[in-house]
Amino acid sequence: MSDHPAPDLSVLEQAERSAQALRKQTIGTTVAMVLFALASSAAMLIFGFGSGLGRVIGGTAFVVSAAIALVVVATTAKARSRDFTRRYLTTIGVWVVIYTFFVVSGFTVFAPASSWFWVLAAVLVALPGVWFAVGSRSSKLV
Amino acid sequence: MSHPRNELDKELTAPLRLSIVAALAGVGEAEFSAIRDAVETNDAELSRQLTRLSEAGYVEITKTRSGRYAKTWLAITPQGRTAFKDHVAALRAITG
Repeated sequence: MSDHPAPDLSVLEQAERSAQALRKQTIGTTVAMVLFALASSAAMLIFGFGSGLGRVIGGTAFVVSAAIALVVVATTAKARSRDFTRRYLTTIGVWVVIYTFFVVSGFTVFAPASSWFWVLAAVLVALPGVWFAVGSRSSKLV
Repeated sequence: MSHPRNELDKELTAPLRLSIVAALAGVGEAEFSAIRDAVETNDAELSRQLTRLSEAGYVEITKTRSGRYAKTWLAITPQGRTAFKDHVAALRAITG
């Protein structure tokens, strides 16, 4: 008499299905972070190519809206990807530094900043969010 | 030469426990309700299996407060991850 029930492939298939179902719960935060990155880029382009007070209000509104959405999604998510807290805090920390540098220098030290300045800002400010999204990819069953 | 069935982990031979650990292995941590829905079981059965996995050192259970509500977060331990990898490898060796 066997001391273990005979294992079959369906056990592994069931396990992989459960893993996939749970991994889907982490996608929302990744998507919100990508949208935050895109909103930040859009804000930089609005700052650079807009005019008057409207560009400041418009650009800021983009970033604040995306930031609120990101916080809501991240705090209500029922599953988090591996090493989430460290990567999330690193992403936000680096983003704050890049965003602050370009906004402050773009409106003061380098004002009126050239188009290339704001295009560079748009690219660099998106990088932390992209890094977070790439690092959130999870692997299948061993 | 030892048959691969001897490498099977006795805690993970139960399909439900294997599914729980497999689900947790793919994420950093998950809420109790998310695990319950992912492995398609009920609260009582999941609690029972989590207690066993926690006693085996495979799962870490953390209770937090979110406003008026208590939430239970689950994460696989390094020991659990190793046991899971070894168990899956043994299963694959058996099933070919």
